[in-house]
Amino acid sequence: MPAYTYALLLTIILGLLTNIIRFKGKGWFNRYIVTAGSAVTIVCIDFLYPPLDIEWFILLFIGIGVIAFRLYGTIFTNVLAVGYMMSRDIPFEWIEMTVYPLFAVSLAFLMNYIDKLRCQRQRRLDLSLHAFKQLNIFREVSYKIQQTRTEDQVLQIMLTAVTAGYGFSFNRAAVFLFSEDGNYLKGEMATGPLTPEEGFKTWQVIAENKYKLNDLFRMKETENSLDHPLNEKVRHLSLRLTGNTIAEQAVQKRRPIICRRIIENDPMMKRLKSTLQMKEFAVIPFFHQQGDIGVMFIDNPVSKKRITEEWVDQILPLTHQASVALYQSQLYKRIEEMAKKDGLTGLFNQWIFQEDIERYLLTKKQRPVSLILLDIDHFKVYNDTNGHLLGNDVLIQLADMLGSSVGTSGAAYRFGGEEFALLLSETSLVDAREIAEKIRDLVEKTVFPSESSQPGKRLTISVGVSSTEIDRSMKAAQFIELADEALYEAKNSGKNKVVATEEYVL
Amino acid sequence: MSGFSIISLGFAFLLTVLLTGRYFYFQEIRSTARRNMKELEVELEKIDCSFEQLVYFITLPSHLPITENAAKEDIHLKYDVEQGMFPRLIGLKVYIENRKDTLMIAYLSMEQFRIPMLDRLYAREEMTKETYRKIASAKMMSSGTHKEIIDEVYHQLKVGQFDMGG
Repeated sequence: MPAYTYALLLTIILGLLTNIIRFKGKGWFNRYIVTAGSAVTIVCIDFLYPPLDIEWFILLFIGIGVIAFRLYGTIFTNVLAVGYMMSRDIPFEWIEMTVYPLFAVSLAFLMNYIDKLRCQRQRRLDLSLHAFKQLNIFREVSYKIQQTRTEDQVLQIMLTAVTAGYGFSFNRAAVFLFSEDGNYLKGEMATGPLTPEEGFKTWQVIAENKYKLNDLFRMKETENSLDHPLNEKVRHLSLRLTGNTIAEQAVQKRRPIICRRIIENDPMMKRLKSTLQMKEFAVIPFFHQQGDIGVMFIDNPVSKKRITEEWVDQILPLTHQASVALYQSQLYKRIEEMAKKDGLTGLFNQWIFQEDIERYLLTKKQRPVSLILLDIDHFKVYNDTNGHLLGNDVLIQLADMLGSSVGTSGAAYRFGGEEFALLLSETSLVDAREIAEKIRDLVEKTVFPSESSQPGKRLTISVGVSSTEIDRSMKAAQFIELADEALYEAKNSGKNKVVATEEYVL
Repeated sequence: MSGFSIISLGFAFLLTVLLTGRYFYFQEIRSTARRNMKELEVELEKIDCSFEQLVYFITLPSHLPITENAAKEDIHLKYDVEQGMFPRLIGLKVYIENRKDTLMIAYLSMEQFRIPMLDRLYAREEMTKETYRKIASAKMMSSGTHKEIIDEVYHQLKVGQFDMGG
């Protein structure tokens, strides 16, 4: 076999050996081994098959050195190549003096250009992955938010999206909303672990069961949360606003702030560190056109991943969407209350009364339901004498008394004008009569403004009581009619008294 | 030997290194992972991994003809490997391929591919980043993981990523 074939075989074997060894270590080990492999190949060929034009073969070593170490490789390989040639007494001509450095520098520039292309490609890929992921999350969050009307559900959806792996992958997130007086941020809801170990357990469960974002939403909805302790802790936490805390700065600037280390002068940071062990976190304000709602804190105590501006920026559209949804849910709640409650007294209105009575009669057939109807005696006289404004005050005062008298067993309603109703579940006629009598007595003893103008010098009420004990198959209209007739009887028989249906029927 | 022969030897070395690099890189990952898993007394196939970071480039469930008519066999995986002297697994591309068309529908980045058990060891400083990466790469390269990913992608194509019905 000719020498060339042996040399070729040897080169290939050395190339294979280089590859077998170089991946066993870290990146730098790989680079050193491949450069060393080329050097060993050159030396072996030079020693085994002299004389040959080893000057050209040295270009291989220089090339690989440059690919592996760029600028350092350029210098290092050129110096070594010249040193080797001198040690082997190889005549050093002008061609080597110019070709080696020229080749090395050109290759270094080329590699630099390739590196740039690679970086750009990687950056483009990262950006597209982020963008598509963000789009997918928004799609899901928007769909979920459309289905909900309550503040709690909006917060749950947002926190899950921020912390889930399918979402933005932050380890923890806690939402604090401004208190009514604006002096505090009150802990509302949180998701994530209290300790790293707890975080790993949760993470393991999620991976084992291959939970998706929607599974996590569902678990939150059914309160089968994997991170209850943090939520409990945050719900009992209030952060005092002293004027220049990190949260206030974020709210004033209406932009997120990343806290890289705890500043002892900021009491809020100290509190977050002592209670939630937050060391590095971001605070993101919640606001909408009408005002500020609160803030969200996010951190990574488990993965210890650095919170970057890029990732925080990605969450912002989600927090804006959640802020609007929160505002809308607050509006919805207010409108719902306005629709259900009487604007003057704050008691439930006639519409809710009708709904409730139907529901009570339908669902509580096995237990007695009682109804108390009451009316202020001579209220027209009161209004004519004292004016409607004072009359309204009396209605409010009486409504407060009824609200506190009914307790948890039922509800109080403004039935219309100066007439009120109390619907009592699981209450017998005897017990209802007793409650009615207590209320009548309380009203009689209570001092109302300008009540001396009333006949009898006191403001009194007449009360009618009925119960399903009399007839369990009664319909709502019949039930109300019976109580109304009892009330009519109380009015007709002298006022300021209680008449129960049983007495009236009998 | 002539100057040409000597240059061809240089090319031979370079080609050997370049052409077999990927093979030896994958082999090394597999053997390192096997060794490490033996030390940890766990089987690579049995450790749980997460596909949470599998990013889809299409709306799910998709109504594109190529995805709507796709069978499980049409879903193919391709490694995304950094080319050149120093090969490195950087991700996994998910394609739908049929006779007419090929469409890349999802991508799982190696950087984002997380394994809870390894995360715990890494956080406790019982594992280096390099070892984590090698084991995670081996997990990504395992046939069991490929099957799981294909099942997952097929399910998403048919049902939707977020199971909107819920």
